[in-house]
Amino acid sequence: MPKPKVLIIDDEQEFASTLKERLIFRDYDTQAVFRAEDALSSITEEHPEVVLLDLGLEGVCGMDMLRAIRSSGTDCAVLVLTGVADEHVFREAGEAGAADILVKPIDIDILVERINRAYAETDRRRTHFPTRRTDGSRE
Amino acid sequence: VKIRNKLLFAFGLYLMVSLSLGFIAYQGLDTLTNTQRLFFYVLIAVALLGAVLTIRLAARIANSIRNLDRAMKKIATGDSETREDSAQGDEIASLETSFREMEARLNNTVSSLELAVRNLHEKQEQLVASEELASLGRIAAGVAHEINNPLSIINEKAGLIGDIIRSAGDIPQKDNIETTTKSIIANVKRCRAITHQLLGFARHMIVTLEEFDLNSLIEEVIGFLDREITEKRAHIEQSLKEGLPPVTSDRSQLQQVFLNIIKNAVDAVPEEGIVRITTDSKNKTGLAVSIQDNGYGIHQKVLDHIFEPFFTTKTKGKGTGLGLFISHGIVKQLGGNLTVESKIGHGTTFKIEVPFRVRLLGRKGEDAET
Repeated sequence: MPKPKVLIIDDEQEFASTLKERLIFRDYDTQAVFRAEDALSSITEEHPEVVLLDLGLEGVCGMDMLRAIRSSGTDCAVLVLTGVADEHVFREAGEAGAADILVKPIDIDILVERINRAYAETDRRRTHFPTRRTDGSRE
Repeated sequence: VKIRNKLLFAFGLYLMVSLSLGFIAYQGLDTLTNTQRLFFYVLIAVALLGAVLTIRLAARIANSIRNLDRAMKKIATGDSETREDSAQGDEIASLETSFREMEARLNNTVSSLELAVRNLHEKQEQLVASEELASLGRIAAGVAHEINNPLSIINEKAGLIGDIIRSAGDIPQKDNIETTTKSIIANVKRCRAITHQLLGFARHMIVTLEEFDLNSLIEEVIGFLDREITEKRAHIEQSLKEGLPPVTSDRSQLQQVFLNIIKNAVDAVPEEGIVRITTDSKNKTGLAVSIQDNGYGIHQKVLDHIFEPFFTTKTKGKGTGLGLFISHGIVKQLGGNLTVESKIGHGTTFKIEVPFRVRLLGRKGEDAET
């Protein structure tokens, strides 16, 4: 299976750039942006297939960012990365169109598996984005 | 006969006697006829009788007042048990009766006030406890969130070192560096377990109420622990009382509590050990669950701190020391009680009281009912 093009949106530069290097190590074509302003232009220009979005971006609501990406007309899968494993965040992100929600810090092997899965699913179901629970928590 | 009449009667007698004696003294006793002299003696007798009656009456009035005074003093000192028989139906008796009525009313008021104060005190304690929990929750969430970010960076940096080392050819100390980075990542995982539990704790400050059957919740939890139970070959003895009324509480939070405590019990028993789970109605207010294991038991020194945060006796890396702290917090938050008893060599029993209905205090959780 081909590997998707990945875009990391996270204002924690050290995290984003290191994760980018690690994904490149695993042969994923990866870009990283650190500012919310650069995110949308990067998506329209680079056409990533999987976006890793940090919800805790400075100066912008992560959920709004997620909705903006979803309404921008691109069909990339958005994986939400968050430091807060809260059911409300899970629900809201799911409703806003996140393909998956992952709680930081995350094991690289799990992350890679989720990226591949989200990529495979966007191919199949482009309009419907179900919410999956990362911790088996209840509905 | 009313005291007023008695006094008037006695006063009349005196008046008569005094007037008659005055008249006789004026006339001179010698001038009296036999009949008049007889009348004179009768008057003296009546006067004596009047004196006796007056003295008795005065004594009785004084006595009644003394009784009343004694009763009042008793009430003043808070002793309201003794009842003195009131005298006949005169003013003092009526005064006593109204006094008794007043005393009874006062007693009622005092006991309802005492009840109100007790309730208020209880509510205040619960309020303080839930406020403390809520602020603790906010701190926990803040700390966990702040730590997760640098933790993620450490995780990725160490991971990157590992990636680089693995892809590099033969370099000195290669194994050593790989082991070290693995150890860093393993310890990041430990920290992550703590921050996730802290976030979980913070999340539990919001209460979602629903009506459910406690027995089925417990059966469900036992199902979740199937793997652990099978591994230990532990025997789970369920003595779940049938026909218990449902409870209105936070199902998922209680699920976490039972999961934690039953798992602890399974961990505590030896191979093929016994965990006995009992449910019963406690009283009119709620249900009681007891989870008893036949493990080694817990020393008093440990019991004293068992519900404190970060207190664990498990080997390093196995437990965060937050499980029972959070469980205790949840049960309290839901208006119940979590207690523990243990005897070395016999095992440990956790008792959980779940009220039929949660009384939320000082909570502003958006899902919370009031």
